[in-house]
Amino acid sequence: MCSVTGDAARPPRLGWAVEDVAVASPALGQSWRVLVQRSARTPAQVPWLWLLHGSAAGADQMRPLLRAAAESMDAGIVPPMIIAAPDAPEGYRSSWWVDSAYEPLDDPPDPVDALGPRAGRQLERGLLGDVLPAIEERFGPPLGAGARTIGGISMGGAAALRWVIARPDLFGSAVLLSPAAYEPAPSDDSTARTTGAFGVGPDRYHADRFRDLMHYPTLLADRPETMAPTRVVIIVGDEEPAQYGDGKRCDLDLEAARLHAQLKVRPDFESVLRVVGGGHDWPVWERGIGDALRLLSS
Amino acid sequence: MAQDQDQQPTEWVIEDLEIDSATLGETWRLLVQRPCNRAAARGLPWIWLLHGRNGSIADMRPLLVAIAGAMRAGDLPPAVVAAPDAPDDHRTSWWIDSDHLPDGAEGIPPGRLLERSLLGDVLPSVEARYGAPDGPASRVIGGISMGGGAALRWLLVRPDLFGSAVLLSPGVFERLPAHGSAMRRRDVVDVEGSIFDSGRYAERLHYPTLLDAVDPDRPPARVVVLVGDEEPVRLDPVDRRDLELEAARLHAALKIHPAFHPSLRVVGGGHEWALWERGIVTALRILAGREPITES
Repeated sequence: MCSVTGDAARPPRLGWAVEDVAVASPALGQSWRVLVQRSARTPAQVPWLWLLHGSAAGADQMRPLLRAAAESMDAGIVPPMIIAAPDAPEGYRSSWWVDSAYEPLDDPPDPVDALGPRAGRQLERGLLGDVLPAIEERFGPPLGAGARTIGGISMGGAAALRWVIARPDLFGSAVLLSPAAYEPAPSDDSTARTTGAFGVGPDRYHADRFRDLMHYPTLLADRPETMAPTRVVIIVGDEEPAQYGDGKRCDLDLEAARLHAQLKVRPDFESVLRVVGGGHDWPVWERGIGDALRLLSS
Repeated sequence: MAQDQDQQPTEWVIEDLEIDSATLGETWRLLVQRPCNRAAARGLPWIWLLHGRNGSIADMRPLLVAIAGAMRAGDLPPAVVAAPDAPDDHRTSWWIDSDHLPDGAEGIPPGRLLERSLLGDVLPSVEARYGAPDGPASRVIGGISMGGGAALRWLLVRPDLFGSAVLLSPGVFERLPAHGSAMRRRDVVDVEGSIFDSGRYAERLHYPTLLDAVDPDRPPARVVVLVGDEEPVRLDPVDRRDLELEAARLHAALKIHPAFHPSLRVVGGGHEWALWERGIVTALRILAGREPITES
């Protein structure tokens, strides 16, 4: 646990502050908001954690996690790191952080339903190609993948899993909190099926598109096993709601165990799984982020 | 069953007992951990703990000590703990009744009535010595590995005896064991000349089959499943059977059944005693409704 006590032996507080930054993204055609938590007192070469929010959420909801991580760093439980929490663009908060090929025939209703379909945009390309390098350059010299962790909650955990498998040039490790790592298909009522994230042309959801972008056994099959081992920490609560996808159970605690089993046999991954008490909610994640970062560095 | 707060037992002793079983035709050995003051055992809940494959009560002693330490520290409510020792030639027999009659070629001894003997002869006789618990709500069945598989069976089929369970790295499998698995070759000795009979396995140990027969209206039972995330890889022609994955499958099945309140914890570690010595206290704390000390 990362509770802060009055222990005199504790390392000095580093004075973490959260900056609210906007970065232009040509791929997206608009600017992104990113919360960046850093300390003026850490050396420039500290590693980065990119932390993705979940469906229908935003970067501001990640503030308690940034605070919990800062407390763990101040307590000396977790090594110092800069944390960047991007905010998915309005109307694309449930778009799974991927490039979408969805082209609806009709304009979306106004006001936009957060969970409703919208014409696909290049979220992944915008974030990884434009935003990430621009933000990191702003605060220090460029670092390699070994000094960059991708993390996420729920839908953000699924995107983080995609990137740690498919983008080893960018990310050297991952922390996945209650990841929506559906295999083989998303649950029947997942936003993956409704928002157009995995749409193609006029179809809002294409099973092939989901498989190509998000189905981790497919992504793993395309990755050479000879790469240096990547550490992945998965934390999930045991009270995840019962879910069904195409008739099969896909509760996220069960899906986490399935994912762990797949990663465990790969020489290019070191998987750590913790199932804790709790549901698909913030108490699990606020406790979990400190535990996950500690397990990542141990 | 309630005791006055100032009479809570604080010192515990482990007795090494031998109990005759008419069903088995020989004696069982078992450890019983009870308050030093024997009279203080009266009215306490009981926890029955089953050892794993090729295990013995010698392995279980550190778990009893860990439980006593936690009770002494006030981290666990007081309880008598009993750990039976499987007969020498049946340490891999899943604590069930077997009707196996071997031809002698494989060196496997004839099947015996372990379950009937333990639950019918040993349990009532031992509990009567110290004061039996107040019904199934005050009797926990627990087990490690193979013993966890048997503990799950008894929770499902003997609600008259057991009201809750703690399963440490339980040897439970959602599907029947694959052809060629160790379980088919040696572990579940069975009907007549057959070492492994699928029908018998389904009826005795396959929890999806047993769950189908559980009355959804019976009083809900708490089940705590605790397992390490470094369980050995178990390959299977159809799907993986690593025990942390099987634990998650079991948890998912119990979660939607109204007669169970399951909790699942996956902690760091393998199929090993270090994990079980810590895990038994964590699991019993969860069972007692005390949110555990964070485990990593």
